[in-house]
Amino acid sequence: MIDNLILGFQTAFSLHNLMYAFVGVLLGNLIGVLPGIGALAAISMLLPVTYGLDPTGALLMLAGLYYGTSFGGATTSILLNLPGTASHAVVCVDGNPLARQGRGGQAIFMAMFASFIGVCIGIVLMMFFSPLLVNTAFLFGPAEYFALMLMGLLAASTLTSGSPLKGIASVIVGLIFGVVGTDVNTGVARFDFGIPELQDGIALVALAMGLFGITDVLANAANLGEGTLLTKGNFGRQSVRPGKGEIRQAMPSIARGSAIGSVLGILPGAGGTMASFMSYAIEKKASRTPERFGRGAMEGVSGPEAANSSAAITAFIPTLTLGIPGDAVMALMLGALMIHNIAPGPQLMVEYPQLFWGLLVSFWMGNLMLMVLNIPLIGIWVKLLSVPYRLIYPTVLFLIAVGVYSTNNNLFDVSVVLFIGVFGYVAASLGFQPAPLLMGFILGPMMEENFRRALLLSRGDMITFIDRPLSGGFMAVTFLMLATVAYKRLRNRPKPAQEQEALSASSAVK
Amino acid sequence: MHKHKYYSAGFMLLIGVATTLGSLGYGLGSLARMGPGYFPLMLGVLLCLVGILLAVTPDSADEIRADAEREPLRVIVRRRLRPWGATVGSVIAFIFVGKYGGLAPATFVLIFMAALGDPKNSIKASFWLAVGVVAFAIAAFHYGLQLQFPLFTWG
Repeated sequence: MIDNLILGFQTAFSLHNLMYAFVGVLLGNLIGVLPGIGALAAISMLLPVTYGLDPTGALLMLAGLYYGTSFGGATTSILLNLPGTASHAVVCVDGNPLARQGRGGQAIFMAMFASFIGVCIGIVLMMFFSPLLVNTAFLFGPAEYFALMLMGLLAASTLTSGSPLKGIASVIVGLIFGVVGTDVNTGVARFDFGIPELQDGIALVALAMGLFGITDVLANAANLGEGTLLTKGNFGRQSVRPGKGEIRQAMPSIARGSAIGSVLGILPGAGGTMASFMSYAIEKKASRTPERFGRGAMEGVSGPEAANSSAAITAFIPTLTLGIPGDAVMALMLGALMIHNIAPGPQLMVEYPQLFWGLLVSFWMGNLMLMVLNIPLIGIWVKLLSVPYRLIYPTVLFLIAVGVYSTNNNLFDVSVVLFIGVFGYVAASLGFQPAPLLMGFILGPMMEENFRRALLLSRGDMITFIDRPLSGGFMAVTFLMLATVAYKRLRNRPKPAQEQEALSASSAVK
Repeated sequence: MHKHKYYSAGFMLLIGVATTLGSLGYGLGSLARMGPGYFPLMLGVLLCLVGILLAVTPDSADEIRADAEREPLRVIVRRRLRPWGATVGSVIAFIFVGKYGGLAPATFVLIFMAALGDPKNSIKASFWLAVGVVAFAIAAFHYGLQLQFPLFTWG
């Protein structure tokens, strides 16, 4: 096992490969800070460049790109509340309030640091448990997937700072948005209102940017002409690095996040996103002061970010050993491999150990490079916030419009983002938060598919969700979570003192 | 006063009922062999239930806060009409100018219109901001990222 890791280090640290990884990280970082243009766009643009490289170098460069864009996405999520990818929507929830309190630099640093530690933990777990992890992936049938997603969605409904019932409502609305488009099983176009573009469903980027970006611009309309986004504090050099105590405080959340991420990362599909949402929910439960969440809690940034990046590591297990890509990015990576005549399969770890382990180590290294590259840059990004808001928001609108356009080269998606943005603003002003909605939208189609498949297999017998041990376990946890929410609501009528506290806390943020 | 509670419950009921009615047209099938309408029907009914629950359970903290707001809705809307109009209008303009004029004029119109939503932005400032962003768009998106969006086009 250690031999493998050493081999990986040797591969990744050869001068060539270091350079490819560096180029990937740098380009990825630059592209990633443009909101809406995520790893998928960056990798598909640079894929042709990698044809000429040797397979290891090609994958290293792509992995560098992946991390670079992912990190760039975290930066815009925190500073401008613009998530380019779903997994960063969670970072928005607490990262953006932190930025408005003048702690954006620290939040970005923490996101980067947590992601780095997450990768380290992911690699270690993978080293010792990869055979076990492969078997776990086989344990998941449709019933288990459905039960796990149900649990994940309930966890997502806690992403609100307001009422949990409204969180659940948001999730369901998200699921309904996910239904739009062609039904996979029958080919019937559902809720397309006769518009051909809607038969492909609502574009994820349009939904995410509309719900967070446009909604945010509309909500800030009240503060126009009043200077910068910051509410308090100013930036000195010291504001970039978090205090020593803060890193120590964040360690438990990073550890929990990495553990969740490593396990969920193996599940093809929603692993990373689900892991980051779950990690947020767990941090909120574990915290002694859950009311800080949604108003700028550092754990709400570090936990999910760690989960996200450790999931990215273990996501290579199904991609490389089973040939099942978890998402579009992984599929592109798989494509890059196949172009070089390397077939993914259980034999890959044995036949090309330098590739497999080199890739893992390069992920670790890509993260390290990001830290080195970005620590001086954070200061510059954060300075963005000192630009008056009246100059920022038109630019933000432009970035949203172009970013959404670039995903499909289609102006229709720009009108979708506008519609979703206005809808999201109305919903948000009634207390329905965007993050759970987004989660419902992402998991919706997969959930429906697995629900239908599970019942098809059991010939319409609902018991299948309970009598299979794993799925039954998930169902039990889901039920327990629901029961605690109900119990709390019945027992704990809002007291005037608490309201006062909530009132002052929220006005401090706004 | 439970205004906000009923607004939010009504909002959810509206979406729930619309989904339920819409899904009835798609064919339900059976539990073992679900048609395209089954899952959305479940969601629609579930959302209606949650909407009813929202209406009958006590107000949540954010609703109490929102109800306590003294300013009537009309005043709030009137004060924000200009930025809202500029935001929504500029994106709509981007879509049309983008289709019939290309990336450069669309970007210019979007930035110029959006910037004027803030009363503190003068016409001159908006103009220069728009010029700057257009230059950035051409350099970064057209040449840098090779975005498939013609700079200028007619029709």
